[in-house]
Amino acid sequence: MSAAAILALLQQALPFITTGIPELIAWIETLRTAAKQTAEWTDAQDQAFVQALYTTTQDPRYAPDPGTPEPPAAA
Amino acid sequence: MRKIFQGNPLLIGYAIGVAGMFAGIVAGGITACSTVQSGSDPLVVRVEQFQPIAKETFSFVLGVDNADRGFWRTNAPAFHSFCETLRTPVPAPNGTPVARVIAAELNLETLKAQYKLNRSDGNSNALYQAFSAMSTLALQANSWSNIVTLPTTH
Repeated sequence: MSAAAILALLQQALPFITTGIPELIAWIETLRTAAKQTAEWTDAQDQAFVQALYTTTQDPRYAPDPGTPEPPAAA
Repeated sequence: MRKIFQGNPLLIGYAIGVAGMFAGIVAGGITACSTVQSGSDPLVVRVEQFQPIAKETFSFVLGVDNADRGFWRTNAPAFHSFCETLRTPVPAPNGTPVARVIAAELNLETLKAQYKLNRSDGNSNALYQAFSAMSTLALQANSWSNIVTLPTTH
């Protein structure tokens, strides 16, 4: 891998470094798992990912500031 | 709260050394394991490699802002505004309101599923467009996280 690509990886890792080693390790594990993937996800893996996305809707990090207006109802 | 984001110099030096070692291991893994299995679509595999990393990146940057929204709103309003843009409720593909970034991730997942069912040029283009847009958004989020979490000096 080229030096430029390794530097780009390190740049991506920097925020996780300054926040804490556990966050850095979690990010490395995600990257490692993704890098080892060589085939398409199974239906179960797809469903698990979608479920994880819907779970994040309950995560307070994703809640807007109080007073944010509700979106219009979908057509 | 600010001290959380002002790293200890010794810890940072150690962490950079660890990160360098891990980056080398990961880089080697990417080089060794980047071949797509025969029968698998490279576009789908690349999108699926990207999806969990993007999800983690968005969760991380929103977590940084959520740790002290008042602080970021006052001291880095552009960063907080970017995070609020990600959080703005919009209708998801199934109609329920979710954060804009989650809706975008669900939209990418929907387009990927449509492409898997019918691998036409039109579906391929739509998936690639959504993938490109999400990649740009994830890069933006990563840039913001670099800016707000790098240690300051006094």
